[in-house]
Amino acid sequence: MARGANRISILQSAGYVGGQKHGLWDFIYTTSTTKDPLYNIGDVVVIPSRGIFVYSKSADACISGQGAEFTYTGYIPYTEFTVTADVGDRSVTVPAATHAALATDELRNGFIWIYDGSTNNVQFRQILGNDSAAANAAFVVYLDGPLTEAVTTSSACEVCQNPYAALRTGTSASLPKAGVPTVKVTAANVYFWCQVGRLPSYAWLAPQYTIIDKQIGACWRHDGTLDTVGNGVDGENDYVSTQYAGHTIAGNYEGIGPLFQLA
Amino acid sequence: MAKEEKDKKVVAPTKVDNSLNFNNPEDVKKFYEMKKKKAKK
Repeated sequence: MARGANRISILQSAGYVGGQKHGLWDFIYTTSTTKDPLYNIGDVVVIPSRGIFVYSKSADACISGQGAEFTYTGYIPYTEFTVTADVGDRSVTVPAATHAALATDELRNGFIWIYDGSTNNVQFRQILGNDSAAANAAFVVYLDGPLTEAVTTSSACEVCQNPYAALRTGTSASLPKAGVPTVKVTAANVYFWCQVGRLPSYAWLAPQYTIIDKQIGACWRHDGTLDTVGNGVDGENDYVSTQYAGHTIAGNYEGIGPLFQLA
Repeated sequence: MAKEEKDKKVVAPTKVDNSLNFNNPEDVKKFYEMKKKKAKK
């Protein structure tokens, strides 16, 4: 795998109706235990008048007529930096922490949260690639944009792979649903395409303690943080609006992030 | 409830709210401390 930005392909762009006798997108109906060299997990294909599809990998079997859920919980939990970085730097060294051996660019299309340790001015970046590392060792990740604030030893980070790396048929009301597989997936570690309702729009937003367990959808609080939909529609709650903010994709108040899909 | 009473309620909430105030560095620190503790588990 090579380092690079998340790819979005728009097939038949401008929505022209083609005269083909067969589709140009047979590949979205395929599964394979080998990664397609053209796509990385999290890459998106848009087919006008057909749908939006995300390149995914299974954590278990996926039934094609039921929603697949995100099972991913993160790669590196909250860990303080030991190597500093300057404003303008496009890479950071993720400190040593418990993790499996890491292949080069395995975290491509993943995310890193960089917390300054004292304020909520979080630097949230997509990962373009990473250096390989032995299990539990520190490693460098390359960012989709420069740091706008310095990283100090008071700063900390959380890291996750793209969450489409671990989907399975829905089994839990506490796990967010990703979309629907285009075809049956019979086992774990199979690459396939998952149809989604909208383009991914990943974000970081401060969660209140209520954003956990089955509270996956969220409404905006008065201060721009996230609270539950239940509190949003409760006329007795003085702080939470009825405006839907989006939903959690991975993590929660107590875990990483959360990684959040903006509505 | 009369409209004036409703407006008053929005301006001066009476319910106890245990949520974190992310504009307050003390509350943000509490959030980070919680994350650190959970990460060590």
